[in-house]
Amino acid sequence: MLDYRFTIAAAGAFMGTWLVGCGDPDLPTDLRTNGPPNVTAVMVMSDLETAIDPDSEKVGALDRYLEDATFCRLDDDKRPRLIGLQDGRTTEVCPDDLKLKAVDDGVAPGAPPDWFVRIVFDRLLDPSIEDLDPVLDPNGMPNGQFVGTLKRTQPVTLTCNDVNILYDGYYVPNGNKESWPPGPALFIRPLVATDAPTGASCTVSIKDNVHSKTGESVPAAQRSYMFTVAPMSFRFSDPAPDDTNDGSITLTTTIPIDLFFTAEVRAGTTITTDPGTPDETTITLSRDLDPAQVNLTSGPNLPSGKADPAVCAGTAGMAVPASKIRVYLLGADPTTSALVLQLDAGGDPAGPTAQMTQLWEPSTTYLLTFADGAAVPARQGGDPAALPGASDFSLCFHTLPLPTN
Amino acid sequence: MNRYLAAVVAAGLVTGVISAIDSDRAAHADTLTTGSIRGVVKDKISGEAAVAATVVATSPALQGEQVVIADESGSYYITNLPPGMYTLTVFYNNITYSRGNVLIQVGKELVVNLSVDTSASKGETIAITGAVPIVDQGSTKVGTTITSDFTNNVPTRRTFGEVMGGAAGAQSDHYGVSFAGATSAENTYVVEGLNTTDTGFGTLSTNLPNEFIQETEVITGGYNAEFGRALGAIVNVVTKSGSDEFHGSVFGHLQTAGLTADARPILREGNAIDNATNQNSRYDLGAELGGPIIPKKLWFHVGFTPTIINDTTTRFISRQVDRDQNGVADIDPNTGFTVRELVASRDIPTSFKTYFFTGKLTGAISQDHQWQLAVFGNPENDSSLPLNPDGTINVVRDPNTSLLKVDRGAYDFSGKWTSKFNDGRTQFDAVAGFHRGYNNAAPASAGGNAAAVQYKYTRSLSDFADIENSGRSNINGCRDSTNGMVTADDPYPKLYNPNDPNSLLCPVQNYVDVGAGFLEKRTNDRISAVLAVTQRVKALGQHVFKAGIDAEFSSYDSGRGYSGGAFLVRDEADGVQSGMPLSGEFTTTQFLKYDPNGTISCGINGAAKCSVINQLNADTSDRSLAAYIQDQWQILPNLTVNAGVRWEQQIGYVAGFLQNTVAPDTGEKIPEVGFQLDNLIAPRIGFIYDPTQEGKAKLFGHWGRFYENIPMDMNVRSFGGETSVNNIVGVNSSGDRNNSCAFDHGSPNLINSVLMCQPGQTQFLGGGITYVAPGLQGQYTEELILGGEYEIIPDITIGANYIHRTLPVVIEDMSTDGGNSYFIANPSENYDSQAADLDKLAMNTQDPNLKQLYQSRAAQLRAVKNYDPPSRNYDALQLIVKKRPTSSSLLQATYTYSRAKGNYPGLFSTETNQLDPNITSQYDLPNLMPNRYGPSGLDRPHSVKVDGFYMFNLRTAGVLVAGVSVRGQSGVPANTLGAHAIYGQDESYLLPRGALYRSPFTTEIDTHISYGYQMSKTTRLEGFIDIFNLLNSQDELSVDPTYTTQVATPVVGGDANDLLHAKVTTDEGRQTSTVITKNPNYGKLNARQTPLTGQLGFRLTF
Repeated sequence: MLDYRFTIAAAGAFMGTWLVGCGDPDLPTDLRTNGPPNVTAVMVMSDLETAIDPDSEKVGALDRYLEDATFCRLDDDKRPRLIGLQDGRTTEVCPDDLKLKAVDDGVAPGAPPDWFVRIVFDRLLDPSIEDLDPVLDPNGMPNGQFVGTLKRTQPVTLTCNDVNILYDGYYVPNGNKESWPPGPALFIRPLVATDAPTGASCTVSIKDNVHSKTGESVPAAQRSYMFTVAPMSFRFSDPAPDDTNDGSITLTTTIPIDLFFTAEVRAGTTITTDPGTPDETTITLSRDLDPAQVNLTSGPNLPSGKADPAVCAGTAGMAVPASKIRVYLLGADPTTSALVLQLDAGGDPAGPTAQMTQLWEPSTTYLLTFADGAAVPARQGGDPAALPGASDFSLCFHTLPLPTN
Repeated sequence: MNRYLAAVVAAGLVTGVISAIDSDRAAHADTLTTGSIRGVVKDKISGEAAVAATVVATSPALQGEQVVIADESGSYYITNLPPGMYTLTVFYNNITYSRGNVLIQVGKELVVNLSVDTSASKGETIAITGAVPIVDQGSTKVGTTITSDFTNNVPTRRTFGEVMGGAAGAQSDHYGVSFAGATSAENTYVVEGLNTTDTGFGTLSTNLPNEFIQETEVITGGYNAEFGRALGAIVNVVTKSGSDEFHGSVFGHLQTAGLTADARPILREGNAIDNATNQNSRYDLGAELGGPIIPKKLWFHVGFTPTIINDTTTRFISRQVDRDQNGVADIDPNTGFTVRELVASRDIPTSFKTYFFTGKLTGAISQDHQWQLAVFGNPENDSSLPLNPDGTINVVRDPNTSLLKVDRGAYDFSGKWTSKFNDGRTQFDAVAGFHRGYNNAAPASAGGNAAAVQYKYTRSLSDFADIENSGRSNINGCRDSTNGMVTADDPYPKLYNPNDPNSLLCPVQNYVDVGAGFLEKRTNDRISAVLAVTQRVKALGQHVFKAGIDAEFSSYDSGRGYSGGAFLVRDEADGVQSGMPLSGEFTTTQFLKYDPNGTISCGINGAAKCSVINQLNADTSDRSLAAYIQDQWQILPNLTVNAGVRWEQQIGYVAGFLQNTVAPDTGEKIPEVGFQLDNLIAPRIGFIYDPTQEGKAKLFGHWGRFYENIPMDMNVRSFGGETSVNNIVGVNSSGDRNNSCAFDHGSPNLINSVLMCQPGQTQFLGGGITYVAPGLQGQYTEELILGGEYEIIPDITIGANYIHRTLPVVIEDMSTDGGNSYFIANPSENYDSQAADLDKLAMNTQDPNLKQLYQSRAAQLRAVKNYDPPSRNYDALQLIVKKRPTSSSLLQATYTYSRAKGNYPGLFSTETNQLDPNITSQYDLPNLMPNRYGPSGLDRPHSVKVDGFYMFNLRTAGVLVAGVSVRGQSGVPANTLGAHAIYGQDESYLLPRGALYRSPFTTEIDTHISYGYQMSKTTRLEGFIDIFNLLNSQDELSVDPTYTTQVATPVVGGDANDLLHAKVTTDEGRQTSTVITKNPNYGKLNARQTPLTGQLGFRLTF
């Protein structure tokens, strides 16, 4: 009897040993749980198309910012790589090959209108690096929500062209290498993005107060990262020249041409148009783009109503006087709308007859080019954005007749 | 049909070949519906083998008798014994020996050694006394057996589907009973040898009341190669048979509202509409009768019982209270919930009528050739309310059109043949049958046929006053005075903050007006055939070889649609309050079909044409084949090694109408086969050692691999041409809301008006079939069991089992391009070589669309290896005490310590309850994976189960039976969930799975008291009362896991402190500095134990 009872007991002990089990696995989607917090990537908001692009195919997907990496930690499989976005597309933050640096290593450009920096870590930070401020309702009472802020903890220093840039931001514990945006991360955004001139060289440096929940600080060698502020440039016009540039682009007499830039342009004086009429409005003229640098040639449409190809070829037509050309900002606020200049030939830009109800002559073919050397400076300073010369930009369009009624 | 014939012919060939093997032993039993017995007959005086002793088994359960002759070692084997109490009679040396009280159970092999006293007088009949061992010496199976004595005398629910949870390691989950850490959809249900599992989702389909059942064997692991297609348990049900005497019963059960305690309310914040469902009555009245048609040759058994359940769901409408008139809803300091007062209530009656039936013919041409035909089923007609994803009743909707008429249930036919040859040494078993399950839902009223609109934000219930007041309700008390309504109806006029929709008198979220929403009519059939041959061979011990083949031809015919042809969601109006400007956006969802004459552009680059259809039909089929060979090798009388290997194949076919057409979404020709799993090799090996050499103990071990049979929901959804379109209307081309679709509830012809709105963004989903990764492997579990059982005193055994289960390979649908396209693969497997093959295809094709398609697929396959490896680890230690079940007493007690951890709970998500086997959202995107590893929704470390009864014989005064059932179990771990930008609510694991909280340990005690009056020798009238949940424990079962309804990515490995800093991400993926808003119901009680319920019953047995 004893023999088999002993056997059963031994079997039971064996089972108990099995039950002790193994530890939890380290999964690819896990963050690290020990060691100092390593910086796996530093990303800069570099999306120059954000929310202002009139191209409808792009706009529907963009209520977000695309970011480029200015740093990717080598040989670290926790660094973000190919990430699926919410709209069914993917974005590659860091190269899939862990031996490769970031594509824009050290020079990823922050987009001038509204740039920020995201510093991604491989483990959770002590969340006390962030303060939580209550959100107030219109009556000044807390509405129960909170926002994160780094105003008081200031976990980094941010300089551009060696000038300290004031910033706020937040700590986000959410995310890993697979999520968009990746995390956990410190999100740093200048209080006034235009404090840094376009083309500036910037550095973000992590301070000692950034550490893991167990007190380990970011290694000294991983604390400082460089990036740039993108130079200002001309992006495109709306309407844009098509391949034929045969003047087939049609405008009504009330639609101006929009010129898009990557940074805010400087505002000039404001004028009132259509004074005393129901259409009275105020526009802000461009401070810097001289109408004399805008070459606008016009001629009547063909009898068929189509554009005159000779005007488009530059072999016919009359130059529109600079005094008839008006360049002004889209909207009046120095926000993203200030990235857009509007241009028309609607007559007296400043006089009492200024109007916005007829911007072009009807039934007319126009050819638009810019003079060599034409440029528009950024409101935040830095090198101005050169407008393309005639060999690179030539927009021919024609206008419709005035409505008969 | 050719496939059917081929399978039958193949099975016949296998059978014929194996039958030709010579042997010298009786055959093994059909283990699905019968048991067996073996032992050694020895001379008590000399200790020598009683060679050529004649052993005869008789029982009321057995047609005729089974006779075998002991061999030269005195060994005898009797197989194919229906479950029941037997008497063994031994004729030896002109003396008759008799041993009674031998309990045969389904699937068990009993060892009964017989010691005959040859010194007795010739011609004398000697009764062999002493207890017969009850330890199964034939297999390594673990689980439990539920006999009719159990269900008659232990307080149990009414059907085998409700009783099988008595096995150690079993627990309820959302769709049934889970075993050993697997979800209930992974079980296989076998009734009369026929697989009756639902072909669509793997759930319970056929169900029968206890009175029709002879025995239910719940096999939770350790089974040999003859069993397969289950990663959970195999539930093997044998219905009652007739006998040479007429026996039967008339029975009835009654539960009334007066016997049921009131359910304690579950308080919820944020919705003015609550509900409580109370059972008005549940009753059944049935009869079953069995007897001879031709004594010893042909028996019958029939049964019928309708079961009626009448419930009332009371829909309460209550408003928030602001007694101090400060404009803020008052909070109850005790509960933390807002104080509310009743405005109106309305009762909605529902009913569930099930008609259980069974019929069975059992015939014996001779002792060696027996057959059986059976028919059984459970058709059901319901009038019910729609359910939320978590299984609760959805009453936040139009109460006038809510009711659904549901016809569902199952019926089955099965036939079985058993023949023995070569003096019983060879046995042939065949089972064939047909199973049909069906579930057809339709609105109970014409109004429910309209398209449903869900207002997916919080607004005042008074906005829906036209609906609510059209019935018997009066919700004028919900009218906010600043809402332009009657001030006199609003005693709290300051409780209205247009910036805070919760500051309304009666806020409702997700209200659904008119229309039933999604509906499906489905029929799930299976034709199956099982053929097996068993041969005993003597070579280095005793071998029982068994080989078999089984074939299943299944179908799932589905018709899915939305009431009114569309489902509309109004996400949020710019003016969320009534009276504010309306410029909301609607998302419309409709099913499409590719139609050359259609007007909707779809397919590649919009080149194809589609048209809207009200019902999407997909008739799909599936073929599953299996073959196995196994050996039960009795090396020594007390040492047996079981080994076997099982081969399986499953082919899932594309819906017939799609086969050999060109997929408009890919340009590829659609094949006939959607997926094919070949060469699923499942080896099994185990041992049984009896240290007592008397059949009173065993040490055993088993290792095996078990493959899943993929339910056909995948065929319908992935290979059924499911195509739908989502239109967002009320927005401009930039996605910004405009006023182009400014309709709201109450607008005339709302649905038609919305459908006429100019679409903004349009998204097509599905179309054609889902791509399947080349080399797809079957999903399987590996299991190791070590255990022991010992009959410590006669009729009482104690045992311990250790069970370790893993799930190394999983099949799931995935997307590595952000949900733009999906494919089916094994997550984390390396598909680099398959991707390289696709690259070659891309290089060799001139078709730019195909080139792009191949390149895209190659990129997707390469990313599969980066997914988290799937895991589901189950470790359990079970301690078991069992008493031999008899008609006078029974005891079965188990304690299980188990842990279930991993990142893949199984065929449905235990968090969202999404039941789409192998195509759930669990692996859809890499960013859905973080934080999913942890204790699963089935992790209950401690589980105690005690069942038993004792019969007090009061002699002429009758019998008194006292039965008890005790359950105690740990609570389940709670999760902390947020919304995912694409997949919506509860799909983002904000914190690691189950990390923060576990619901408390719960207990339930059920009792059964019956008094029986013996009217004659064979007739007894019993009356009884069952009380379920005697202590009326209504403790917490689970809490609300939704931390926020906002989109937020996981805080990987985080804790509660980190959560305070978690940020909102917009639907479009733009992160904000705003901290996520906590759902006021998070962590609050979500479900309680069912309250005390009494059940009266009677049973007249004869």
